Amino acid sequence: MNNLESSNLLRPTLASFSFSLIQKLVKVLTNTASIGAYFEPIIQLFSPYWKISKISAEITNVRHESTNIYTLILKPSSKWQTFKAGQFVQLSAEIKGSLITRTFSISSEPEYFKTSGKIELTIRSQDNGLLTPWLRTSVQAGHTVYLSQASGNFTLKNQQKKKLFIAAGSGITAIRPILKQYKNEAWLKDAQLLFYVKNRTECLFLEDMNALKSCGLNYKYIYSEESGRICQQHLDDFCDDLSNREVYLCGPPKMIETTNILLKDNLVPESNIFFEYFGPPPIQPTNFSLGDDENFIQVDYLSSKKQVSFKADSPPITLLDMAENEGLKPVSGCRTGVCHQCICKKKQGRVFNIKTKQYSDSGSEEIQLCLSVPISHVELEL
Amino acid sequence: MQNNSKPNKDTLDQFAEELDQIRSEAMSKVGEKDARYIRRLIGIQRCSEIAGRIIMVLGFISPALWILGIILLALAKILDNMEIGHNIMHGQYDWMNDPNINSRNFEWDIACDGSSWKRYHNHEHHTYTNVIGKDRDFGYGILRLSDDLPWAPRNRFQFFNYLGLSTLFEWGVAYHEVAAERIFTGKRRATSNLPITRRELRNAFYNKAGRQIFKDYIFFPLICWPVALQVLVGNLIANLIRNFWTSTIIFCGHFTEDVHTFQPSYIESETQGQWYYRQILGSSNITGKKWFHILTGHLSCQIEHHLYPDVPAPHYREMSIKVQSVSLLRFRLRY
Repeated sequence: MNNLESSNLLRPTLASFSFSLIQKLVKVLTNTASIGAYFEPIIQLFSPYWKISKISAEITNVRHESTNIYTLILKPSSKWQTFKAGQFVQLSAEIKGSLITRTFSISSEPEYFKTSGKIELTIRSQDNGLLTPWLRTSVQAGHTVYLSQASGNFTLKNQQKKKLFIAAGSGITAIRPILKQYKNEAWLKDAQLLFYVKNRTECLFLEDMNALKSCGLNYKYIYSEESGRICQQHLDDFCDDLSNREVYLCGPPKMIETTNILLKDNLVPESNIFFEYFGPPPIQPTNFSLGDDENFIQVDYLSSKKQVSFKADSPPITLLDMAENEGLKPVSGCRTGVCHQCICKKKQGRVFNIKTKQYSDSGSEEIQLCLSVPISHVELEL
Repeated sequence: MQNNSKPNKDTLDQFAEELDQIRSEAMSKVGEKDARYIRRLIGIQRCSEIAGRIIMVLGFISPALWILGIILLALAKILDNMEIGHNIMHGQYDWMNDPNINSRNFEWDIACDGSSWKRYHNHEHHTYTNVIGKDRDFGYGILRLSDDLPWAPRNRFQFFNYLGLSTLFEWGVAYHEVAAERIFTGKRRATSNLPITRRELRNAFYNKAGRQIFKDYIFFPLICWPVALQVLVGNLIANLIRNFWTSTIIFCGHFTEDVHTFQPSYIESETQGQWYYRQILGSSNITGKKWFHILTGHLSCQIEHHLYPDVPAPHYREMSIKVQSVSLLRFRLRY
C-alpha cells in the first residue's frame, strides 16, 4: 500500500520535473517562453492567421437582427471544447494589426453546437466602440477571428424550482441559450421571461420566443421608451409568486443593481438570485466624464490580491504611484513613459494616458503604469 | 564638438510642434502592414537561424557549407538584435497586443539581459543623449571621443581599445549597467536609481550570460558531437560577425566627426523643442538601400530613431525627409 502511494506520488513529480526542465531548455535555446512561441512566426509565414495560444474560428455568416444588433455565426476550430448554456467567450480580432479582445455571451444553445459545430454571438454595435462596429461593417463570411474557451457561472442551477428570467437589451444573449437548450424540460412550462427592449424595432429573438411559448414559456417584452425601466409595478403586473422563484438577471450594471434591490424588497432570498453583468459602453473621448454610477473608482491588483478604491473626484494619480502607495513594487524605470519598463497587462477597465491624452479601451491590453490614470474599475495583472 | 548655443525659445517651440505633427502623421499610418512586416521578419530570422545551425553541421561535407551556415546564423543574430529585438524592446510594437511581440516579454539572442538594456538604453541613453557624464553610451567609458573628455595615457591605445570593444561588443552591452552600478569592482555609487536590488542585477547578468554561453558553446556543439569543434568555432564566428556589425553601425550613428556633445548644465529645465534639437545634433544618419536599413535595424536613421524611439522603425525613412526639410527651414541644419 505504502509502495503504491509513494510511486503514485513520484510519478507526477518526475513528470512535472522533466516538464520544467524542458521548459527551461526551450527558454535557453530560443529566448522565448515556449516552443510554440518560437515557431509561431515561422508557421505564420505560410498560414498568417495561425496563433499558438488562440483558438481560431471562421465567421460563416453575419445575420442582422436590427439596425445596430447583429449575430455572428462562427465555426470554431476543433481545439474549442463545448460550453454550458449561459456562458461567455472572449472574442479577439485583429484590427489594423492590433489584437482587440472583448467578452460576449454565446447566444446559441449547446445542442446547436453539437449538431452543426457552430455557435452564435449576438452583439450590439456600440457607437464609440472599437470592435463591435468593426465586426458589423468590415467582417464577411470566411473571416478568421479568435476565441477563448467558454467560461462563466451564469448557468441553470437546478431544474426543480420555478424560474423568472429578467433580461435587458443584449442581456437576452445569455438567457436565450438556457431557454432553448431546455425547451422540452418540465420547468419551462412554469418559467417566465421579462424582457426590456428600447422599442418595437428592437424586439430581439421574437420568433424564438414565440416558438418557446408553445413549449410553455410565459414571456413579455417591455418597451422602456414607453414604460420606463424596471419597477415594482412591472413585477407586480407580470409575476404574482416572486418570492417562490429563482431569478436570473442579465443586462447592464445599472439594471442589475436596481433589480437586485427590488427583489430584496420583495423578499426573494439572495441565494435565489443569479446575475451576469454586461459592462458599460465606452466613454466618449470628447466630453469625458465619469459615469454617474461610478462615484468610486476601484483598482484590483490581481496577482497580489489587493484592491484600492477612492473617490472619483479626488486628484488623479497614476497607476504606478497608486501601486507603490499600496506597498507593491512593480518594475519601473524612468516614470516618464520612455523606458517601457513598467508595462503591465490590464485585464479590463479604462485608463487615461497622460502622455498621449487618449482614453484606452475597456478590454485587455498592455499599458504603461506611469502614464495611466484609471477612470473606471480597472483590473491589473500585478 | 561641444555645443553651448541654443536657438531662441519660440523657434524651438514651433519646431517641436512641427516634429510632433510628423509623428502623428506617421502613427496614423501604423497598422496591419507593420504587424505583418514584423511577424514576417521574425519568421525569416528564425528560418535563417535553424537553417544556419543545420547547414553549419554539414560543413564536414564541404567548407563552403560551413561558411554558409555561419553567414546564415550571423544574419539571424543581426536581424534579431537590430530590426527585431532593439525595436520591439523600444515598445515600437506594443500596440499590437501580441503576447510575444512586446517590449515587456521579448528577449533577444545576445549576452545582455533585455531588462537591464531597457533600463540604461531606453532611459539613460535616449534621455541624456551625448551629455558628458550622463550618457555612458558616449564612448562607453573606454573611448575618448571628444575634446570634452580629459586625455589620459590609456587613450594612446584607443585604436586597440576600439578593436577590443567591437570584438567583445555583446559583452560590453551586457556589462554596461553592472559596470555603472559598480557591482563587481569599484566604489559603490552614492546615489543610484536602480529599481531592482544589486543582487537581482548581478543574478540577471549571470543568468543571461550563462544561458547564451551554454547555448552556443556547450549545448549545440555537444549534440553535434563528432563535429563539436566545427560547431563551436562556427558559433563563435557568427557571434563575432554580429558584434562587429552592430558596433560599427552604432559608432557610425553617434560617434561621427560632427556629432555634438553637451554639458549637464545645457539640459537643465529642457523643453520638448530643446530635447528634439539636441537629439538631432547628437546623432548621425547613414544612407543605403532597403536591405541595408533593415540590417541596421533602421539605426541608419539614427536621428529619427532618437526623435521618435517608439514609432515603428520602418517609418523612419519617410519621416526623415520631412524632418530634414523642417530642420533645414528652422535652423539651416543639414544632415
